[in-house]
Amino acid sequence: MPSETRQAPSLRDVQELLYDLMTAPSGVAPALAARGLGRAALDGLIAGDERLGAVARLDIYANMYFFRILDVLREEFPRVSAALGADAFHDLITDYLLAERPAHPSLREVGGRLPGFLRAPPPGQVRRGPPWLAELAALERTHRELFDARDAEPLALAALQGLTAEAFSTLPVRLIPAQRVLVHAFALSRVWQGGGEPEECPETLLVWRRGTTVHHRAVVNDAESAMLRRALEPATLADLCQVFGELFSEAPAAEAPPRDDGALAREAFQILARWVDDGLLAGA
Amino acid sequence: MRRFPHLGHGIGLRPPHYQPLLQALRAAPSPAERPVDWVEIISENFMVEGGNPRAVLRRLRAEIPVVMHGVSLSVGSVDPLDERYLQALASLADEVEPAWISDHLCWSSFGGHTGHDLWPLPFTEEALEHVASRVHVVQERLRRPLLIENVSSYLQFAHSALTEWEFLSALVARTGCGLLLDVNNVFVSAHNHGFAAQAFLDGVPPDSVGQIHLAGHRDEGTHLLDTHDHPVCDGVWELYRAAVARFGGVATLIERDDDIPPLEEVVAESDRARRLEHEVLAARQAAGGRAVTGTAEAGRHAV
Repeated sequence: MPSETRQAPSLRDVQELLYDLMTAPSGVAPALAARGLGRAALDGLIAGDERLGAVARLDIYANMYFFRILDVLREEFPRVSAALGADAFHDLITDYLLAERPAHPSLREVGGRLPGFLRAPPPGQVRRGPPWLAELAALERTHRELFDARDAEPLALAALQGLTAEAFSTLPVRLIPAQRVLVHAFALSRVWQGGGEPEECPETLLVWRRGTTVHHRAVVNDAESAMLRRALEPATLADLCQVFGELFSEAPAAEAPPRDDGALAREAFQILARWVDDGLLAGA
Repeated sequence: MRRFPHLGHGIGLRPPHYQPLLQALRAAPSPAERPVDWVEIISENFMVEGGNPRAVLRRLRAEIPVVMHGVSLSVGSVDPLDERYLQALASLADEVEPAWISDHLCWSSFGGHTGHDLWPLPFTEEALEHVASRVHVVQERLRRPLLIENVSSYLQFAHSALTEWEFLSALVARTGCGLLLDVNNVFVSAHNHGFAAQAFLDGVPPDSVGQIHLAGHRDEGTHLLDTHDHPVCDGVWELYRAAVARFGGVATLIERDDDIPPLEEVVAESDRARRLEHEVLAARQAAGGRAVTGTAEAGRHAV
């Protein structure tokens, strides 16, 4: 091994140079050229041999940096990748990594800003793909995040049975932590299932984890939408039923069907029962 | 005196094996008939709030010992140690109570950004002092010695003043850390840089080696690439034989990260390591060598 000399670069200098070169999207030689340096500039730093020169050795790391992250993101965003095609997805991730250099120690977080990057690319970059791509990315990312979000014991229907009317109405309602309500401008169901273009049509999606599997469904019922919004804050069952009632009382007279409080209560209860059945409500 | 217990033979825990492994462990009529003695988790994959990974980890931990292996400590980086990361690592360790915690001799971050890779260090006194000071900090924070793993590398620095094994030995001496000897990484780096793999084994202090990794790699023609997507090759098995001859029985683990085969295939490789270790140690004992500690069989019953 050669001995250290006074000219030996500092650890900081080595890491600064190598980080820049290994993460440059163009590869090591063009990145050196951009610094006004030739390939020989690395020869004093990295020991090459007849099999591989210094640049080629560093290029191994440059390739691994990009392709490891590309693989992770392709796995996390399979529908975005399919919608764009392999080449365009590759280019997207190249630009993404330049704009949003990974800063979190876990690879799990490397895709966290991709939906935002698609929605609002930095100045000078064009928006990639169809207009619904950012929403699709947000949905895929939400699935990823909820997969290992905080656990909560779901509320069992049995816990509601036998409650007095008063206990029932004052029962606190908490959604489980592993849920998210997304409001989109496009109906993503078709593209999620693997085909076609989504219609431009506002859609509220409820995404949640039940057991170990993340699900989502469109919330097509205005009453359920309103109850969900209310349930995002601390609420009781009575609060939710009240939201339900208010929704109907606010409807224009011409559209409002004759009010039947018993029917409204039954409908509210059906929604709550579905939430319980879906494991969407947390127990005490 | 052995500093780290011989846990026996284990595998790296990967998602496709979660359920089959749990089922196999529960189906084993006795601890000695378990498919593996212990598992190693990638720490970062379990630094999450809940869901299946944490549930599986709790269930596995109730059955067998678990070791935590990190990839993001970045102990050689000139960036400050990541406080969020250390906090998460310490919290996970408190919950898992691992047999030990390991990470790599590398840097993987600069300027607040991370490369999610294991970048090699120059083996200089400056780097040694820097890494040693950070190992001290981490060990104090985690209240236990770390095991530091040698990485596969594709470049060496012209200004390195030490060999990798001299660097690691000095790190052990200065910090009291242990070594996670990745035999495949020794094999890959020896090929890529033209040094003798045996010199590496001979150059590290025997009692510092607390764990061994075995894995597969790919021949790219100009170099070997550490891919963990193949079975362990014959050359690495031979080097493992030499490692057992030098270090005795050491907790040994099969790593597979890509093209992950069914659990049975990974367990079969782990069993091969167990048989090979037993064979080497038995031969050494028969030849009147020093007393065997922690054989494969002893490891199984110690669980």
